[in-house]
Amino acid sequence: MKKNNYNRRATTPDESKMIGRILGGHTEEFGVLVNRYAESVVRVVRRIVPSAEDAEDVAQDTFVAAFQDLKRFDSARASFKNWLLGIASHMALKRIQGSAAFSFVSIDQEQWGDMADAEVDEWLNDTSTHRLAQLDKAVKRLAPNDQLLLSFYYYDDLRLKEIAAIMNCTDSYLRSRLQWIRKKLCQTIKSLEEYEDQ
Amino acid sequence: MKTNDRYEDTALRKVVTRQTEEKERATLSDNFANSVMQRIQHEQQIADIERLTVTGFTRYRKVAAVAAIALLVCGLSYAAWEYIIDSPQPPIENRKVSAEIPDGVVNFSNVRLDSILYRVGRTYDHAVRFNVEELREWRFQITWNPNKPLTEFVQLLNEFDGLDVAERNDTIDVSAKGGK
Repeated sequence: MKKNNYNRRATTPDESKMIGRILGGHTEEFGVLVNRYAESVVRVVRRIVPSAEDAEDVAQDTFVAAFQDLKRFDSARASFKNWLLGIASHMALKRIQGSAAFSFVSIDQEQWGDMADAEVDEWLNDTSTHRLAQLDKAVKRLAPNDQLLLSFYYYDDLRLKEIAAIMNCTDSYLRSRLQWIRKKLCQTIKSLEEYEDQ
Repeated sequence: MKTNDRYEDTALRKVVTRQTEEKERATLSDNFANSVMQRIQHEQQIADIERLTVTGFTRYRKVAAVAAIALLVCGLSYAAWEYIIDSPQPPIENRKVSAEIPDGVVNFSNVRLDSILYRVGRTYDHAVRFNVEELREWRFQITWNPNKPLTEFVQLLNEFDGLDVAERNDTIDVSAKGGK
């Protein structure tokens, strides 16, 4: 499957001009941006919203919200696409959680602090069939926003700074979050193994 | 294990990739972009109507305020005059402020019929159906009081030549008079 082709540069010059024209009253040009990014938006939404119909609905809401908020778009902070994906992620999480998006739970460092980094590295690089199956279960048990973070990081290969722009938080927070998720996954695998042993 | 300041996590990457690809299996409907643009146009029309409405209200409120102040000044002058002259005067009638605009009244000024009816329909939870597409573009100068029943507004619309509006099964049905 084709991966999202993330534009690491800021908003392209033609997009900046187009946005200026849209804000100046040429609203029909927004259709070009819709056509350009519809697929990327719906794919990100589908990572969170299981129903195809709901996902399309959320994707539509995303573009309408983006149009209404277009004058707040700041090309110095994020590319237009990442800004759009940020709106899409928030709306998708809101749809499934029914509340404000990105409500990350607090990171309980003490609980996971006893696992050595080397051990975590070893477990998360073990590609044996058994370990992959356990990891699959463990990832599915994560909160939707944590799963989204993993997909941006491992699937789209985005930098933490780019993910932070989409998820509206700091990259240092995401760094800690990622460490926490990695340890949590190992902890879940341990629990699964204990359960299997019984 | 990190490469270029990124976690390698071969196993986790495999799992995340597989799960993401499974979730992303979706195709967009063909008219997705059209639907988005139609919604945007509709939202804009509603915003335009609301802006016009607010402007209308502000204007009426200003007129009402000026009239009220004028009446107050007249009243005070009259009271002073009566006090000084101390002579009986005929009672002053019609002291009420004439521009009483009930809350929520909407003054549509040169607004397309479809925009008017979508706005009205939303309030009464009615759908809108145009049996003659051309009627959508007709423009009206009309006042609507959302505190009153929909039938009153429908009657008002039917006073316009060539327009036949009916309320049926939670739908505002728009036809040309004498037509379909």
